[in-house]
Amino acid sequence: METASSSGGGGGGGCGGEQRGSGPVQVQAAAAALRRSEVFHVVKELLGFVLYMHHQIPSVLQSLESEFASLKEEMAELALPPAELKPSELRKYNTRKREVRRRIKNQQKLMNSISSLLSALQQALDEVPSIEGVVLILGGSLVRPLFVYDITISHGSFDSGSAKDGLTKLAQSVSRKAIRSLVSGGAGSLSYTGPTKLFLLIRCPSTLNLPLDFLPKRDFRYSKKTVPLQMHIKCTNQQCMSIVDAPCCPSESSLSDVIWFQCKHTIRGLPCKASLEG
Amino acid sequence: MASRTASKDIITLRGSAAIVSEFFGYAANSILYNRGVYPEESFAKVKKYGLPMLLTQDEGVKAFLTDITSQLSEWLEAGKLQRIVLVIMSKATNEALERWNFSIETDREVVDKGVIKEKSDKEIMREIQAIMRQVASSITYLPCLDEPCVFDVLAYTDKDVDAPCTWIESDARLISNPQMVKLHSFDTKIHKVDTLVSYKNDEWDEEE
Repeated sequence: METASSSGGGGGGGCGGEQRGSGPVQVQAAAAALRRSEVFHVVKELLGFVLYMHHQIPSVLQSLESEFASLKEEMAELALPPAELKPSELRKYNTRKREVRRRIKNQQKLMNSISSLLSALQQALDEVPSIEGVVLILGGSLVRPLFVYDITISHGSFDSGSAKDGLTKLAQSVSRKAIRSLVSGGAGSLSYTGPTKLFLLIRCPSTLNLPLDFLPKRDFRYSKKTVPLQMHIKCTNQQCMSIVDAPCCPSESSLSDVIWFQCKHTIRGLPCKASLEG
Repeated sequence: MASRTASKDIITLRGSAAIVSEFFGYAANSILYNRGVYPEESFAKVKKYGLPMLLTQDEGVKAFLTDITSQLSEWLEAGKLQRIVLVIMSKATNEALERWNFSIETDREVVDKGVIKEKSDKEIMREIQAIMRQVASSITYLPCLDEPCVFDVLAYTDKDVDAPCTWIESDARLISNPQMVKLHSFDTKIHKVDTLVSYKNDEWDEEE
């Protein structure tokens, strides 16, 4: 007999008519610690899922990245026309070149903003000895969020690896578990709220010094009216001391050492041309 | 501030059966594409539910699914269909790897007395769109299917149903020790469809 085993904690919490969270969703990583690259992958996958399910990007992030990379490759190949083309072939070539250029232009801003944000996150992870959590906020501004995903991460000790290291099975497993929890909890808007922005905040030691990418936000709190979807990703034997009083639980180090930083790079969603007559 | 009420549309039993069977057709195609059961190049993009949806161009698969959706529509109109399951199996071993389960609750009053219901078409489409997004993003939350796969469709019907000869009785093709993820539901007010995917436990998920 099949039995359900995915835990659900609630929908994409927010001010709108979404399902509300009913306590943090627990996601267990089958390891004593997560590497920087593994934490990066998990956050990236969650970010991509949130963007797609809230209609901010037209397809899943992997497909978008893949498509954009193919377009850039094709553009590079089309840069120089092959010699001795018949007029009809030249016309087709030019048409295709225009089409590729148009598609790149349409996606450029979105893909650049995603790339900048993710690159900044990688740099931050490489610079700090630990990270307590991230918050993904969808909305016009931090003070008026539509949806909040508050993700606490108890990752154990980072090793000497970089956030840019390759993908591991563990990272894939943890990100899948985390997203399954979101899916089971109904995350993702049933009502399209229009194109909006995604903000990333990270909670880490105040020693983080990437002024071009991150701004300290010591007093960060999202609106009390907002009900976030809370998730706790933890490694074996890791504990979170308390998960009350949004937005995060205290770390083992002194509370004054750990603060919120807001990523200066935001992702602005594309208008969803969804026509429900289609 | 005045609230905006969505205008409601009349839903008949036949109309609801058409919506549900059509949904299954598109969902099945999306599952086959996103789970890599058939190669990407064998699918073509169309617009449906406000989304780019992929439809198989393989004539054999097309015909198979068309026959199925047509029969499902008939059973739905008769109020005889309880569940549809799309099973993905290993081609080599025939082991069930994933089961996409669509449970159907039918309003008996509509079937027995011909009562008409009302619900906004747009709202139904919005609910369906949410499910399709979850199917499309399945690559982010389901284990990879790393081997060639085949699929089959199971229909759970009332016992008094005379199945046509193209359908045979089958075992449930259950997965041993499965994990499950519940997806969104949609409701036409006549048929309520709950979606759930169960899958073979990935070795990395054993701690779940």
